[in-house]
Amino acid sequence: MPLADIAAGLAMVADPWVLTVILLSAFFGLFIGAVPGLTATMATALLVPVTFFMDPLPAVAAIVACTAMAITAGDIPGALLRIPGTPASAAYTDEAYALTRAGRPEIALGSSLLAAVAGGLFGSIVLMLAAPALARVALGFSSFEYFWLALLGLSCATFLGAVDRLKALASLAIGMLISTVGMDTMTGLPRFTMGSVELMGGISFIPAMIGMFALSEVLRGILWPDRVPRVTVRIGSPLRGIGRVLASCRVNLARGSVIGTTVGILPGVGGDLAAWICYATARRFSRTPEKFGTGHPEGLVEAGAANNSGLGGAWVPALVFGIPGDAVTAIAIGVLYMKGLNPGPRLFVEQAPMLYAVFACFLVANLLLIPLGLLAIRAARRLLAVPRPQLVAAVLVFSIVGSFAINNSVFGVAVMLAMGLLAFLLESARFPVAPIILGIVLGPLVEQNFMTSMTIADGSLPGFFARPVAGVLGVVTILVWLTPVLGALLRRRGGEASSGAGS
Amino acid sequence: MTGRTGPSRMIADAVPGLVVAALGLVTVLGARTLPTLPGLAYGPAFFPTVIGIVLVLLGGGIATKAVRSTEAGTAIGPLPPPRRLVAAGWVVLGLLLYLPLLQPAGFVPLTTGYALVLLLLLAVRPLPALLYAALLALLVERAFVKLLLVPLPAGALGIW
Repeated sequence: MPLADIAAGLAMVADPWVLTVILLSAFFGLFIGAVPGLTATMATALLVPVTFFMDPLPAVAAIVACTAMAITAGDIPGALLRIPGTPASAAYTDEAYALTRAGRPEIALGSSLLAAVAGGLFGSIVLMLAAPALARVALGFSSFEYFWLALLGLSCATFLGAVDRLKALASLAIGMLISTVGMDTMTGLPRFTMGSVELMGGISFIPAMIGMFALSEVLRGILWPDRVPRVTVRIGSPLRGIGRVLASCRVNLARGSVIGTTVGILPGVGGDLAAWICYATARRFSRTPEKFGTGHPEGLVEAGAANNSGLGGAWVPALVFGIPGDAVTAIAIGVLYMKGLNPGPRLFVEQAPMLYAVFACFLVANLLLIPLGLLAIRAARRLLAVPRPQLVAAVLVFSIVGSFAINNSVFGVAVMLAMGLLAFLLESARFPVAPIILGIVLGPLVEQNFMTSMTIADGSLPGFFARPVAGVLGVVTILVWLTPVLGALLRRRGGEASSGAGS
Repeated sequence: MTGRTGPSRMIADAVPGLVVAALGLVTVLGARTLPTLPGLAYGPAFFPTVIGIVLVLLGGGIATKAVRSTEAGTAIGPLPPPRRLVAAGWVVLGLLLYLPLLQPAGFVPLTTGYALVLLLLLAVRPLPALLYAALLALLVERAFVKLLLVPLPAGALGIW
């Protein structure tokens, strides 16, 4: 690692303005994440218009701090009310709530907070070491490798971890369709602009995202509000006795961090899936699996660590290839592009000090989780009692101003409204929304690299497998597509074997 | 959420499936009107056409699966009370009115009005609702105009 770059990066973060931005964004993330029904993705989406007006480093630092804090704070309503604050907390909400019912909410909150910090720090360190190394390899990549990588990311996102694959794929295709609106990058010809000059530039990413993650949630919150009961349980000091709990779960802490980071690094897969996998592995390898579901910290610690370590891991493909692991990272990539920090291996050559500064932000944000997280746990009752109508109105006004501010035009607000309605309708029909945002971000990447590759390979599809790395990526992508078929075959064989054994 | 069986699930999934397929068809037809460049085998229409075909197939698949499915599924939840429906309707319709009125009316008065109606529909008492809406609009205006230098419309009267 070039020490001069690291030193320059650290000096950039030590700037008081950057640190202030980190602190304020963390508070913002804490608030939104802790309020049930408001997600980490919404926090990030609402923050982006503000980062639009900042220098690159504080902008990225704001996103990093806000996401980490919002995901961690999402555990609070999960543990106290059984309403996960963010999807990533859903894997272990029941476990945490069982502890609360047993009168030990501080154990649930304290252990998931410290597990998140440990996992987050581990993920950040892996990010620091892995991303530059991977970038050196990626410098030799051509459009063939990028085409397969983007396609692999999209495939992982929809084939692994989706409840309904057909619907996830349909959402993804809709996102990619949205990305084709505007000027065609290869020929400069307008597509699907319906004569509108404003659509020539494409459907702006930021208003679209605010609509999908804030407006649609506002509508949902108005129509079907979560019944938020009063928290009656007394919350003790979250640090008392926590050392013993973590010491007894150190294997879980380590396994959660490692699996979480690894899953996070896979293109197209984020922390949500990592948390579910780790809750399952904790149970599988536990000496006391019967205690799971009754308020057992093992699963909580492992999944909590996985959840936040996945966040650091997800930034590896995001920075090196521009391929997001989940909706939050997709938004972050949008911010990187907006700030001229186009993700890719060249970023590591041209902007090395900047990248080390971003890595340092990860460490600062994760360390900040401890004091702010403890503060959030103390203020939990008040946070959960924030009146809903006022909150809904505030989110709505921020959505309007944020969408307006990008181009200073009401057209952005119109895009926000249209995309919000689309997301609301799709979610009502139980189509997942996150693949849409992945489609919008990755659509142009897939198309451009496909077109370039087609031109280079002179229209020959086998040419896509001719380079070794591209060939491997292509085969892996096709294997991911075949997972449903392979799964069905294995199940059938398993069924035959067991029925054969039974007869 | 109410568990519903057979027909209602069929409708709950078959309709969106058909809508997705129709969207795909429109995309394919729309892509056919895109100009092609001489000498380019894969023009601007290629990618949208692929997406359109994929959407037709996926939509068809979703609809077919819904029709064939016999398992019980959780369909659309219970309808919210009328007051909440009106409030959600106001968020959308109010915003449609908001768009053309923003320049002439100005950000602060218009946003105060928009948020006030929403708060009243959500059963907040009138005076607190008015104070909150006005304060929200003013604070957001100050933050965005002064700190972030976003030219939010001041309105024809120019008082804000």
